[in-house]
Amino acid sequence: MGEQWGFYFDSNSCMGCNACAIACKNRHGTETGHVDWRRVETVSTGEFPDYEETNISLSCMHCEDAPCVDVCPTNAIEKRDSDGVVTINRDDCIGCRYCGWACPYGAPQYGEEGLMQKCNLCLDKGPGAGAGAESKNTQDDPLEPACVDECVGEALHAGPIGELMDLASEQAARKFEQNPTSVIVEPSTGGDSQAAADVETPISYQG
Amino acid sequence: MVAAESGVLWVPRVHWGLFIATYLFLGGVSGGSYVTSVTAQLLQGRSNDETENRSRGETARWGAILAIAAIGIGTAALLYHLGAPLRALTFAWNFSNYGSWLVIGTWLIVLFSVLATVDAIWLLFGSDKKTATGGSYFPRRIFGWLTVRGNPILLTGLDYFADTTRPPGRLHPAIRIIGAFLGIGVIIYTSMLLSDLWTCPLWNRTYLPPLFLMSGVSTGLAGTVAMPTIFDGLTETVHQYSLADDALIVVELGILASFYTVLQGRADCLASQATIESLNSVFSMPFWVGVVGLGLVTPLLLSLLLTGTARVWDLDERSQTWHSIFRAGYVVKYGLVLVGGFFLRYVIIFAAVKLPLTVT
Repeated sequence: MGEQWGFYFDSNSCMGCNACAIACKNRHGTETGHVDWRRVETVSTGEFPDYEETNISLSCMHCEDAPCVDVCPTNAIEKRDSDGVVTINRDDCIGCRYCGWACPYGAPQYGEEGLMQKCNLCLDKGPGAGAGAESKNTQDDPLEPACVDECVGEALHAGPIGELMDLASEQAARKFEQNPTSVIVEPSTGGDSQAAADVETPISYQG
Repeated sequence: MVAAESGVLWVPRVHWGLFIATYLFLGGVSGGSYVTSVTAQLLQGRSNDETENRSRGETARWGAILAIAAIGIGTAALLYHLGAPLRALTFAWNFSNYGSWLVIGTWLIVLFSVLATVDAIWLLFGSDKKTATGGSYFPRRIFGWLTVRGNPILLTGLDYFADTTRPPGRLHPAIRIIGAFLGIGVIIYTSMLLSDLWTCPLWNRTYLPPLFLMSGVSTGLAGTVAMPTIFDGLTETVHQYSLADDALIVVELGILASFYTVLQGRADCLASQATIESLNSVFSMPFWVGVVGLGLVTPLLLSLLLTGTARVWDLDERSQTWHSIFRAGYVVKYGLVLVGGFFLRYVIIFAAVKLPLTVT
């Protein structure tokens, strides 16, 4: 298994400008409307006067045990051993949208043609690109993800998890170990209130 | 308002829409119709009354016809929803993830459809059926009209196929029982497709499968028995099946009430609370009026009224007009059960709320 790649996101440095989302749209030529491989959400915590807003930049989390992979009828979605990127082979996708319901993060997107498309960590450009592409680990000059490239506050980074861990605080690293995704999320220090912020994976639920 | 909860990030939903609700509904109707058909055939011949045996035979044939029609239209609705429907038709070699309920369900539907279609040919065609009468034999008339140079080749071909392939003796009922299990499998699949995911509390693995099973058998029974009621008139068989349907409806109501109470009691689960809120606001009409009112409570009350009145007021001594009124009463009841079954799938798809991400 090759070294796993992922994202590092620091909400303390994110100003919510949406440059990452726009850069992503631009590079991959995704259609206007509700096809967002990456989106920025503002989450409010607390009540006035102890009120905080945290910006969260979200895309596919390239989960270790990706639920979208588990449900795809044609095995069109793959969690690559070579670099950990979750890709979609649109030649096999039937557009059933089952993966959309299975993903807890809302990452799978569907354009006019009805087939699934999502973040491929910029393995290549365009919807569906990246499936079958050479591993990030062996590419001579791997494409830097557009979201990382355009991030004004350097809140987003991408690379091998080992390298990204150097950026992470102890708390972020600890959280990441418990988190079955490939995204390290730096907790927000939240001004005076020291609110420990984190994007939590919903607990697997059955009743 | 739940959406304004502190530190909560709601995840956008990918709506499956009306076509998938229709597909899940018709999957249930199809499986339920076939189960009804099999029970009717097993009961046929056990009555001393020829009218009842004829009614059971009609029910058995209508059930098989409805099973094929429902699964056919349902599959068409599913294919219409897909982004690449033609690619889905290559399921035999492209659906390679056997852990996905979509693949399990596809194979269940394929096996069930093939078996139900061949069985319907055995039930409706063959040289011994040439003089048969009854509303359920309408496919014979349709195929009889399709002629080439005055020759009904399709009808002749189907009769020949039925004569040469119909299994002897008890093998035919045995095959039909296998078909009934496949039909139940199709109904359960329509719930497991949803319940296999853990992202929506409304797609609960404990309550949804029995709820869909009860609803599937109930709606299939309703659709099937409505046909001999319309075309052949009231019989004791129609009445007995109506009582069986009432029992299913009571169990379904119980499951639905427990499910609602459990969801409501999950005070710590924001998605459960949001689901309950949507059932009482945006989806209150389809849920409370469509599913509960029209689909479950009204048919029960109507059945109570029809059964009670018939008991104290011997229908055999009444005029033809009263017979027609009772007949219409049963048809309305069965129709409402079908309406409720559709609304149930509609609500389960549209009112589903995903577990939110939390930023604490």
